[in-house]
Amino acid sequence: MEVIFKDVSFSYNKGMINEKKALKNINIVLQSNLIHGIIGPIGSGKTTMLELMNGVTKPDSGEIIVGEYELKNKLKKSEFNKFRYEVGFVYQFPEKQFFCSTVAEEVAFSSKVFDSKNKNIKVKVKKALKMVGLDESYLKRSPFSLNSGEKRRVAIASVLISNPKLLIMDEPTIGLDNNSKKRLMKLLINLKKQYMKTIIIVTHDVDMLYEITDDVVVLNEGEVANFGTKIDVFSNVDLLNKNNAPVPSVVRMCKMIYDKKGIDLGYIKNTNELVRSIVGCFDRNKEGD
Amino acid sequence: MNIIEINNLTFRYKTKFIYDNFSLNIKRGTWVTIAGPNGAGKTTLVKLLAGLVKSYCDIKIFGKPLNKKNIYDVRKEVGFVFDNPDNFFACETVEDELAFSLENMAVFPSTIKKKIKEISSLLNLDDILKENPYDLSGGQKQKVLLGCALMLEPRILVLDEALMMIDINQRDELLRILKEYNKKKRVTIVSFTHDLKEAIYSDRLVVLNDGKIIIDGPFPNVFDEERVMRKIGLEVPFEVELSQKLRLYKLVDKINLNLEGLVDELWK
Repeated sequence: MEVIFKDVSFSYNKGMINEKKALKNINIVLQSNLIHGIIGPIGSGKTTMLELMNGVTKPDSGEIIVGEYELKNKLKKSEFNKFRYEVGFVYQFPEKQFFCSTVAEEVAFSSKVFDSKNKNIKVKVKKALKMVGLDESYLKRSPFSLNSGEKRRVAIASVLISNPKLLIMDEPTIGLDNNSKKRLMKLLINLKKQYMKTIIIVTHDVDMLYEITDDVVVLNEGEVANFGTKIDVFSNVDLLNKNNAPVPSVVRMCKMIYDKKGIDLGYIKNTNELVRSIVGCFDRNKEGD
Repeated sequence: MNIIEINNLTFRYKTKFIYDNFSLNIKRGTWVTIAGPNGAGKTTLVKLLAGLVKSYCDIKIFGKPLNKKNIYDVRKEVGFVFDNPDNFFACETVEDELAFSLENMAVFPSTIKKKIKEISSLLNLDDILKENPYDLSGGQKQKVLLGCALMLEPRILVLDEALMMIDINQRDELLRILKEYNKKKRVTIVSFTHDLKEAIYSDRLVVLNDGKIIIDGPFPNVFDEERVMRKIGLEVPFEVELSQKLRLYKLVDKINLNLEGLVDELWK
């Protein structure tokens, strides 16, 4: 499901004394079946951009097209229900999307409301919970009584149950420990590869993003500072620093080695590859000796 | 001198024991990070320290048992910063939010103004003082909440996943500011997190798993237990992981928490 922003601008408190421009003339095309990451310093407009593509907030000017839906005009009720079902949104604070008294009801909600053929809901609920690593013992618990990592996983499961074509996630790894994070990363890669989903993630966790994303959008002060493949974007460390955007740890180390020793290690995927490259440098030196 | 003393704490939710005979002492003026994976018992411990859930045990703060009689006096001197700021905002502007607790304590307006100036400049909040806290981004909200806690000049600052929405660059800066604050004002900081990157300025790291202390030690030596940390689901800082892996190849001798230092050691 492709997402297109055509000259989109948005301000909070429009026309008021405390008007604040959040997004300025955004032009961008986020292609289908890819994982896109959106990064930038706090207050750069990342969450606003997600809310606009979720159809909850309308832009002041410009046009947003999500798949077959033009969000400029108000969608008809039937069309809006379909849009809701096809676009899944996981909020920054999972509590914001909870209102049922049990995890089972919470996860089943969207399927009950938006899917007219809501058969086998119980099976679907269990499957969605299993996908995020939660077992059946959670079904009868209150979502509000869970710890932050469990809340986040229930929020993700309640979106996955509707099998959305587009999955929008605002800071999905916050509150997750390393094992849960790794499980989520594996799940997202699987959703993209096996089920051809489009996934858009806003995050401060660039190390996670560096491993799973295809494209990266860098936002700063409501404008697109850079957009491209992760290799292009993350190899331009000076531009990331200039825009106060976070730099992946592996890239920071490569840049440090280049700046201090003049050694270009090239594109390094992860820590293990980095260690192998560094060890390789010393092995070559020994051979040279 | 111990400012927080927990002796033989036993606590359970219904039939599930979260803590059984748990003890922990924290010295005045230190920064202690308490880390653990999801479900380790971190949030329960924060709630117990805040008196939000009843305990039938011996928790002493400033030497006073945490009971009905003392809780008001204790709370005045302990600042809590929780993970979800939206649950705590009550005012229409950041400035009013910062002033709120001192106003309720009938502090003079001129003193409050002075204090707001001090805290907003410390945490770099000047540009957002007139904004509605609900309009801010997650990271900005967490900074405001931290500011609200510091307004009260607490003797103990308890952070419950309080920096998790702040981006890496700003989080490092904020951690440095908190370290200076900790040293200058002798404020005891107890920070609960699952992210060990937040622990790099701490004096001591305590790792919890299933309600038990499995690692307790000073920085950075405590990272010698890196494997145990990873096994229970904690993410160690990149610098630690890289140092440890390079140690296996005998390219470095020790854990280096600074990348520049690590490069220097590699090519010394």
